[in-house]
Amino acid sequence: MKGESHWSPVPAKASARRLRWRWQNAAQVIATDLAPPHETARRIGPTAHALQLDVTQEEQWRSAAARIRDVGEVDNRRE
Amino acid sequence: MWARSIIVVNNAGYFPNRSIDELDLATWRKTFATNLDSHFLSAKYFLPTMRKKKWGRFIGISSNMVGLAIPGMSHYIATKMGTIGFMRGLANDVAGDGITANAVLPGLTNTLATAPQSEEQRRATWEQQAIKRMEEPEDVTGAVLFLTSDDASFITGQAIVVDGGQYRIG
Repeated sequence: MKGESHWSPVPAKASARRLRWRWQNAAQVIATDLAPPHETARRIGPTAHALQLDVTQEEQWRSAAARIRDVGEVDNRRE
Repeated sequence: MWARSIIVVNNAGYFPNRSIDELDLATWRKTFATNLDSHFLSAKYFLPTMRKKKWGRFIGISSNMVGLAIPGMSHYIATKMGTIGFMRGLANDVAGDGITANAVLPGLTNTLATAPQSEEQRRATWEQQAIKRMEEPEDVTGAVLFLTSDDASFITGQAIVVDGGQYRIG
């Protein structure tokens, strides 16, 4: 494991299928990475959004939280 | 009926291999910023909405490497133990608002990040597991989905190992 990597592995392709199965038509999912992960969002489905987020930057977390308010919160709870 | 809720799964990771003799402060700090500070920042900015909704889930992706003898990863292991510790502490502070915080510890997983590894390296890892195959992202997702469900509403401050039985805690 020599060398450097900087990654955000979940949701990856397979995970996207599971998320789609669980949250289809119910959830707003925001997938983030250093570059907006459009392909991951596309695989999850129309309720997914891709967002650029460098997790080391506080201001970007603040923006991400604001984006959540824009798109609506995630739905996953069955009552 | 579906109710509004917020789930934060924080899985960003930075893991350069550096022996303690090679490790410099800049690498140490970048590893902590990516792997541990990010959990604090996610809590800081998502907690207010969760508290308002009286429901929320934090999942911190740690690593089974905290229990393995892999050289050159002291900085990474420190952050992944820190993730477990932060989730334990966070769980105490947010439990009264219907919010849980747990850590998931995957093993070596078949992602773009591990793609540079040779087949021999991958095999050497999964041969140490009880389940003799490479871990896939779906294996991790199952645990995450469970912990974010209402079925797991009484599970908080825990560290769940999802690695095919390589690292055993008890």
